[in-house]
Amino acid sequence: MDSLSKSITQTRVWQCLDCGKCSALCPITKWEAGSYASPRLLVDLASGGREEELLQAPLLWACLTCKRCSELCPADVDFPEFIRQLRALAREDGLSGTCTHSAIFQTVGKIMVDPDLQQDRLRWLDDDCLVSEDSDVVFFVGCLPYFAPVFEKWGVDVLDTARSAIKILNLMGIQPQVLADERCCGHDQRWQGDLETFQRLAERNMDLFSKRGTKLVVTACPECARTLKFDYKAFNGHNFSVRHITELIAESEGFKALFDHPNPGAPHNPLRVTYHDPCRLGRHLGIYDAPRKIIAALGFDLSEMERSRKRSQCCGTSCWTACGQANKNIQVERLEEARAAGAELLITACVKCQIHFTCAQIDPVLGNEIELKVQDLVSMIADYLPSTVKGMVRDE
Amino acid sequence: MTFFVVDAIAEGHRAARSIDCYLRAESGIQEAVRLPTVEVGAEDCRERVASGCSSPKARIQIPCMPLEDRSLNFKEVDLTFSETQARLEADRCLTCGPCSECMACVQACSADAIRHDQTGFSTRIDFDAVIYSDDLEGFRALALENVAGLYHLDPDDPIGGLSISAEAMAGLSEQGKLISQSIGRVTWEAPDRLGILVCECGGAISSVVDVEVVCDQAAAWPGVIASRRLSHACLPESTQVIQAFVDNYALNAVVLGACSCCALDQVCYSCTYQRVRARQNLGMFSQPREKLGRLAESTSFEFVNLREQCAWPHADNPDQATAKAAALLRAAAARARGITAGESIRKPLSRSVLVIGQGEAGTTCQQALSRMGIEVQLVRRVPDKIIRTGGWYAVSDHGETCKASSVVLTPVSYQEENSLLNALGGDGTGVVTLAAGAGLHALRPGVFSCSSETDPQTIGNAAAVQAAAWLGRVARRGLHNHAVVTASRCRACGTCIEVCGNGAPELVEVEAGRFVCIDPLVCSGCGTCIAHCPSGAISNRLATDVGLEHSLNTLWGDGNGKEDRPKVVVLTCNWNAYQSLERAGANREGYSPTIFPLRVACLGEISAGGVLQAFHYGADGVLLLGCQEDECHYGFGSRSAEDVFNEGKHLVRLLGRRDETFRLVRIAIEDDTNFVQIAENFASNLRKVTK
Repeated sequence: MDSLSKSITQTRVWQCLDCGKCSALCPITKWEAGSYASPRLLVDLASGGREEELLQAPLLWACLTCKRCSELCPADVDFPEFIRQLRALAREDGLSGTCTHSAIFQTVGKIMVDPDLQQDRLRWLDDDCLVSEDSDVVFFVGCLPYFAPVFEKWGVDVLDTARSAIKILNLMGIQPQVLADERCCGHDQRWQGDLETFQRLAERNMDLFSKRGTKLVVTACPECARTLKFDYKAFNGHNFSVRHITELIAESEGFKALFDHPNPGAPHNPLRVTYHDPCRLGRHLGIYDAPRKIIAALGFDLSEMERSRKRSQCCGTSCWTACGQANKNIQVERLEEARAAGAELLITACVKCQIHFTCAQIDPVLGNEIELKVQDLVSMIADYLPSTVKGMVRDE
Repeated sequence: MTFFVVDAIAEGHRAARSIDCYLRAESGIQEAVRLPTVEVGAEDCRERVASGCSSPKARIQIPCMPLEDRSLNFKEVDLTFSETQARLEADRCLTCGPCSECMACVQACSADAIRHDQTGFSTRIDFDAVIYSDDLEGFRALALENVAGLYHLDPDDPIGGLSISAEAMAGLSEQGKLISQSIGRVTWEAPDRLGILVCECGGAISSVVDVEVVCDQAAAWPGVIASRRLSHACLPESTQVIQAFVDNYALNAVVLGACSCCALDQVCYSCTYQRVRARQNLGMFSQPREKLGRLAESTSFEFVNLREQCAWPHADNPDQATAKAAALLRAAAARARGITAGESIRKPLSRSVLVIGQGEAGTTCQQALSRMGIEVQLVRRVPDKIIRTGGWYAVSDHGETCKASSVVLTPVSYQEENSLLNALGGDGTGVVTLAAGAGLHALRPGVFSCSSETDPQTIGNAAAVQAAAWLGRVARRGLHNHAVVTASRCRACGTCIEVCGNGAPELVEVEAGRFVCIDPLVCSGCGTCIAHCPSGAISNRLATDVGLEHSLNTLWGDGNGKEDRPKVVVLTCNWNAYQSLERAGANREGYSPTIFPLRVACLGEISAGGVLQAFHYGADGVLLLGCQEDECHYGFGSRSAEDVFNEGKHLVRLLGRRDETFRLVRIAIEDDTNFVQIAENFASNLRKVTK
């Protein structure tokens, strides 16, 4: 099979040494009860040319593409990319993973492909959010408005993250554009092998960026950041830079005051927090220090989990697909790890991580044992700033 | 990058080979692949130290023999580590990777259990018959319950094996050979073998709908093996024709397009009340064998009402009526492909009865039941609540919980009867049917009430007989479309337990993990839990988003009715809404042919994702039509549809659709506003906003 061998070469699957480091690290391997849920065995099937079995392997859809395996692979196999290409192949055969949340987000993605779609997605903007029509900075909101009605029942206020991000940008002296016609970035579609939908979503967004003369795209979602930064490169006219908002804050002049004089209004007993590195922000984009710098500057007592930074554990589910017992176990394990670090609050920089960790705590049996407040860093900054350094930043 | 002497030597070798190639005038040398290694740089080390993974420690020096000891002998000057030193040195490991293939574990394992050369493999073994001997839950988790030639053997049954293997052997054409095999993962795919039957209804359908054309078109649809017309599907002779049709073509699914005709008291397949019975009677297509542990194959069945939905309302437009008939049949065919047929699960109920109340009939009933060998508990005090959970009725009596499969209420007065009914919850009217014996009511599955006004001796004995008969009958079969949980997809979040008003889902904890099991005898098949499950772990043979998606996908799939707008999908519940739809057809009230009703079990079955899919597949508007909350056939489905509707409304609004494009309407059973009024009203509002 041509495309399979091409993937094998391109992702260096043929270099696999069969050492099994990936299987020892893979969170799915640890918890998925079925056979073949190991990257090494999947690679083994691929090198053996057993395509049919390969496309039936449970790991094909269960893989979180968290990059934990390829990070440590001595043979430099790009396993997540291999999985991604396999999924595109499997889709040609009409296979796909089990959608969660009644396939709401997959369907929203498909509907967004429509070029004539007129969305009503900016109702969350309040008077405190200053935006402009002609700025060359775009704040890419992502799917947050669509998450809101689905997850508000769990008490996750995802739009708070969007509003906070705008307010933070305002404090930096930026009044960004927010696009009413923005489409989903296509991250999930791309990683689920639905390349056609991804292509069409990306074309719509690229079209918007070029029409608005965008030079900088800021986003509060690591997945959007990764996709816009790397995966949109394949499209013409990619002449803007893409930053995750935590990067921007960490190096902003406006926030310099905060970092130069940390703990401006630190309480006597700072809240003990821990930080969960989202896979896309950490291993995919290499951003580890910026969020930590911000957390420290805000005056929190940051206690690291056993597995952090490059070794961070994925939040357990990706792309709204193939979620179940194994994924729950991964989340419970991570929550226990956070509690073991003595944290009273789990901070993450990805709304999806926040949703998944909150979801895991909905459990009639384990409930209390894994109870831990989870908050998105961006919404926390805005919560914390007004009382302490808002004035300082403005003065600068 | 650091280079070592070995690298220099390797480079030397390479240079030599390249010189050799050059001298032999050969083009290019075979480059050995340079495999990457784990590289731990200084930055990595610092990071590890910072995160507390490692701490900086100096290398432990290898001890040397003191100078004074070296004289006058040839002993080795370099000593070895003591145990403490060795441990300290080993402690400096940066743990750069979990396994370095050092093979130490292979050597250490005296049982020789570790194989480093092991890779996965799968074997394909073809069998004519398989006897699966493991617990039934696990068997069902494999979703293999509908396979012909597959038998389930209760592992705890010491003698069942003999009879089942005899049965399996008997089913084989040649002398079989028994192989005992432990199987990790078994897959089964039933090929689609669909049959389409179109009834002419003695001209009532065929005078408007071109049945010939529909049959011809149907033959070309995916998975369809055969299609044929019938003059009267409802006649007893037709049952034989249908059965022969199924047997001849070995069909595993049948779609019948016919009419609603329950008024004629015939066993048809269409109208609301008879359909439930017809589904259960589907055994007539392929007799399910009532043998021990046997999971028989049967035919799945979908019904489309062509007379009341096509021929009569669109009598003035035969072309559109024909097109709509074909579209609805095709949607049902697509849905039938997503449905797996199968017989319902059977589980013996515990033979126990709770007799509650101060009436005299209680003692009579207790004695009668005891004589029949049924375990009876008599609760004199009227409890606050009779709970239905996991297939049990339970009450709390003096702090103790009594539970049983069946309940007999023996009130002493009318007041007590009322408080007992209140304890049961709900008004109890939804399922009232009169059973044999004056003054005996069956209120809930397995709950019987003795009227206080009847002779206690007679009624007590009658109730005992009814309860015993029920225990025997119900133990055989639950609904065949009960919900099933795929254990590996279950997050044990308890959402289904919260939404289910029947108490069918139960959280179980076994070695393999925690997940929910749905009691097939308690599940009423409404599909509400399916719509609410966040991880999509629950499915049911009839009510699935997948089935609905198939239907929606085919409705306008081939450009059919592209220019006719507005396209409206009406998701009608099987009860009040569907009745209203049929009544409108029966009254020959015309409505726009672009209104497509799709039947679901209950509004509770519909998820927000399902609604969005309807829009994605081309609907201009989606109307949810169901029962009034207090008239919901399932008790809770219609109510829980509210949450899904609100969620869907937000999403639909975000996607730029006006509120008029998505509505939820509830119909009361006595309501005069009928289907046509509601649907046309919706469509005309839609026309205003989608110009």
